[in-house]
Amino acid sequence: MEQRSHRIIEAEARARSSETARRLRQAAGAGSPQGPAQGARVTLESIVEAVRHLPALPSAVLQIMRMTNDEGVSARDVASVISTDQSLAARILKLANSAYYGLPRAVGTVSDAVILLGMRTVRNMAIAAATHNTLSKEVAGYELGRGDLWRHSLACALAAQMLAEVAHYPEKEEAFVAGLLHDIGKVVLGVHVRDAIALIQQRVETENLTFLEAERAVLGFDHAEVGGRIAARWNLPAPLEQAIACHHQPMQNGQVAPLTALVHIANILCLLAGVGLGADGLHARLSDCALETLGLNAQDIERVLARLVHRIAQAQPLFSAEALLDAPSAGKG
Amino acid sequence: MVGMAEVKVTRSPEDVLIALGLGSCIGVCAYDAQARVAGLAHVVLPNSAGHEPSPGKFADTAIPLLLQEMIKLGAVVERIRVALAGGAQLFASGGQGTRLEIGSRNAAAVQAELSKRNLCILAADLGGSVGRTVNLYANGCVRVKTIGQGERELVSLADREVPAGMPGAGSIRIPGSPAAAGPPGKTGPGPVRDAEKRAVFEQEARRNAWSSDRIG
Repeated sequence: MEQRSHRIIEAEARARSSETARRLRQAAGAGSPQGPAQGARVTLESIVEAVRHLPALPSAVLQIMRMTNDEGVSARDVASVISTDQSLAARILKLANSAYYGLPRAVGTVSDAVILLGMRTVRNMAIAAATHNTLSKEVAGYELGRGDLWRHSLACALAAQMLAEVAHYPEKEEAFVAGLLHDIGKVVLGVHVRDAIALIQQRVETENLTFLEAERAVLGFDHAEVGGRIAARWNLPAPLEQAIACHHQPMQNGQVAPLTALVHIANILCLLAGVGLGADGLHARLSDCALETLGLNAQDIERVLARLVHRIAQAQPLFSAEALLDAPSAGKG
Repeated sequence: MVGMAEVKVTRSPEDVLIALGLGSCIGVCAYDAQARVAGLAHVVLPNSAGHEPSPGKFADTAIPLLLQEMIKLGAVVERIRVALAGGAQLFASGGQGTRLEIGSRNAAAVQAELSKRNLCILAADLGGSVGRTVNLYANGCVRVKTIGQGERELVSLADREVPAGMPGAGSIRIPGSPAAAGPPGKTGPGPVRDAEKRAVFEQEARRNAWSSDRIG
């Protein structure tokens, strides 16, 4: 029914040329330090090492994340933590004054921003500001150009937030963060995917695997799992870590955690909408169990997709927030 | 740049209309070679069910809007030719996973709207599970970039010779189109056009994930 043969032939051709290149490299005794040591398999050590080299979340951001989960934290408390990090404070003020939030007057202090926009919104701004640089880079392997992963991540954050509303999930700001960070593992795994892309694509084509399953089959790791490791390294809360680690295969021990289900479906929505698509394209599977967990059906998904388009259009100031987020390097986080 | 649910038209020769990032959405590229009017609709869903304020989002409302805007710039419906790209599907195997079928339903809805108006689809790059970006140049040239697989010219929607030096200019002749024919509007829908259509579809089908009978 589907005419795949020409693509398979192409994939095989690419696989052969990549195989030849690898043999040549091995013969020359020059293994790239980032590249796969044996075949295309990636060692656990190299992943751990790469995760260690990712910029850490600024301590102020970690502190805010813990604070906003506690009852009895005041806007003043949050503002004072943010004010300890000048670069972060400057970026939050710029974001708060962007057209997206439509505040009636310019906000001059972080505590005004917290009062007017709410602690959780400001917390999300802080995380967005802290991860923007990492998520905006070009990601080789996935063929994500500069800014593509950021667009996909932000769209997924908005979609997860919107789904949380639709499904009456109480922590919709939690959903935003999980959506924003769900693909962070691609930043680390990208270089390995690049080295083995022909093999991965071949497995996708010939064995009917999703891209993630093919990553795992070829490399021994997939980007969701690596993302989970990054979340753990950043000391993010456990449900957030799980949502990142399981966003493609949300079923764990026979059930799907609500936050994981939100991120899973939000990601699918963004693939359908085509926001920041990479080489993995739409080679992903929608989990019926995730839909059931949230009490949603296919019609709901379509309605949310229609609304998401609108929300993304509204949020354009955030999508083009490069200038807002890449603050002057006055203070270090 | 034509964002999701947007419809844009142009008559200026330097313009390129771009639908960046098509998943299950469809980029409907339309061109009147005589009036040199180009239009692109970035369709998201098949059906508005009559209660949606944003007409560009749905196939049943976006196609009329696209034509209307092109006519405002001097296009004539009978001369307009169309190329489609996008309509990808979620991957599914062995009955696992809901596929939603938004991509294929989008494609069917767009084609139904076009055939209602006897509009000629010269080429289509639809289906599969890949992301695409489609560019429509003001000379009628349509280029599709498939993420991870590179870029190619899908078709030229211009009947006449395109000026040299433009991207992709003159590299494709529309199969079966008589070189010395008058303006395409005078040909009208008929056996010649149907043959053209079939020929391009057959050519495209070899490169595409969908078979030609499913498209046509």
